[in-house]
Amino acid sequence: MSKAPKKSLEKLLNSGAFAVTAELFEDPSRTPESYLKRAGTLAGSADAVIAGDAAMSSLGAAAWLAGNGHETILRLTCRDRNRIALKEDVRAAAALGVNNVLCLTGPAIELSDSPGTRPVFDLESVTLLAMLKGMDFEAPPPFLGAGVNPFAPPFDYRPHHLAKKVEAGAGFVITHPCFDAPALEEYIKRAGALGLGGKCFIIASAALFSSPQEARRLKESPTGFHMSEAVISRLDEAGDAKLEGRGMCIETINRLRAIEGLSGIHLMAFGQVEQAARIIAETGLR
Amino acid sequence: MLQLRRWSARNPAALERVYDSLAAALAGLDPLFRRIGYRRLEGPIKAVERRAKRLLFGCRMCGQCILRLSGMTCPMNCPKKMRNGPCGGVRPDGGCESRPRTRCAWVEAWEGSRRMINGGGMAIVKDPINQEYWGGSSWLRVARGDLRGIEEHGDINGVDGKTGK
Repeated sequence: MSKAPKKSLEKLLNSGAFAVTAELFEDPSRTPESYLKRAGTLAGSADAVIAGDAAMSSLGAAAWLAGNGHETILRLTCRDRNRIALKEDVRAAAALGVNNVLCLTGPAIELSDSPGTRPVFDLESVTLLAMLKGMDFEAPPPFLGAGVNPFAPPFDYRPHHLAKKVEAGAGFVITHPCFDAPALEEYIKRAGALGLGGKCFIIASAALFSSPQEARRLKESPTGFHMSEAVISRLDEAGDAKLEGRGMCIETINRLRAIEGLSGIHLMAFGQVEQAARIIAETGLR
Repeated sequence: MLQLRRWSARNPAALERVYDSLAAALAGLDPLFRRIGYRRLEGPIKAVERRAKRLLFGCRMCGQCILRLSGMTCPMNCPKKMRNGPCGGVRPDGGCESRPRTRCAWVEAWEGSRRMINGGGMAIVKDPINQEYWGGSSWLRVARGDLRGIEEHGDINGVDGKTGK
């Protein structure tokens, strides 16, 4: 049976606390134990973790972690599942102790490791949220979230898109990695002008890079992170890229925390979980 | 064909007027269509609709047209078939995540909505697609009252696409 987590993400955010969440990413060994090890490293540092989709399905990983006492966010995408499968996954997750569901449309099928597969996209993030919001659950209903990208065009439309996600049922959103704090600030201000303040918790992602090559790869991948060349050249010119990446991550966290209306930080450490835990402690986030 | 598509992208307000008149006319034609029989009409109407909308919008015949709520741009050209706005993968230059040389349908939709008389439909939460409707005539569904009309989607006058407020 699942051990009850200390505090759910929803309760924590509702209490007004500044939340810390983290992405686990896949371990090269791709074993269930590796997920547990990573989640264990972050226990006490992160209030909730997301197991990316990798060796096992998102549901498998999230349920496994929740069953071992971790507050977990299920990363649910519409790429491979029609609405029936999505409903069943969420029911299963809720029954197995997963408290949170991040509703994403998901990347294009061409970008997967199985091109030629039939893409599903029966729903998209907004319609998925709306469907889940309308569902009855035996277990307590999950806390629904969504992803947002304030750093991609069409910029002026993005706050309206957030409004739709909130209307459809999102109680929290996690942004794409932020390399442009003023842009995020403007986005949050505009969301506030649309009356969204207090209706949805906004959590901003901060990236922890270990090398300029890693940053370059993530900038140039089709699901690319929106970052300027300056980010990469700073890593490139540093004597110790790992140390520089760490410094940049801390800078980002401190800059983001100052933004009014932001409710938390989501750490994307690309496998550097020990380092992530240290950064969380050092910045005084936990 | 491409020229026509470009013209329609530049003139969403004109197409909006045409569409609003068409929707009103279709609703009025329901009694007549009933007498003729919708099944008999499906073939010829669909042929006209397909040709016209393909030329102007690159229509995919989803059978549940939301052009009026998406800046007079067909969102079914999006590889993810998104009906409620762009994904997070839009490239910095406005290109599509999976087809970089194509502009994101929702970047075009947003631009179109700002040039419409009332582009506020962009802010409305649209229903998921009904997969049974693919290939059918959307116009006849409007006449029959099968599709939610724009006014039933909620107050679109509350949002001004031009100012973004």
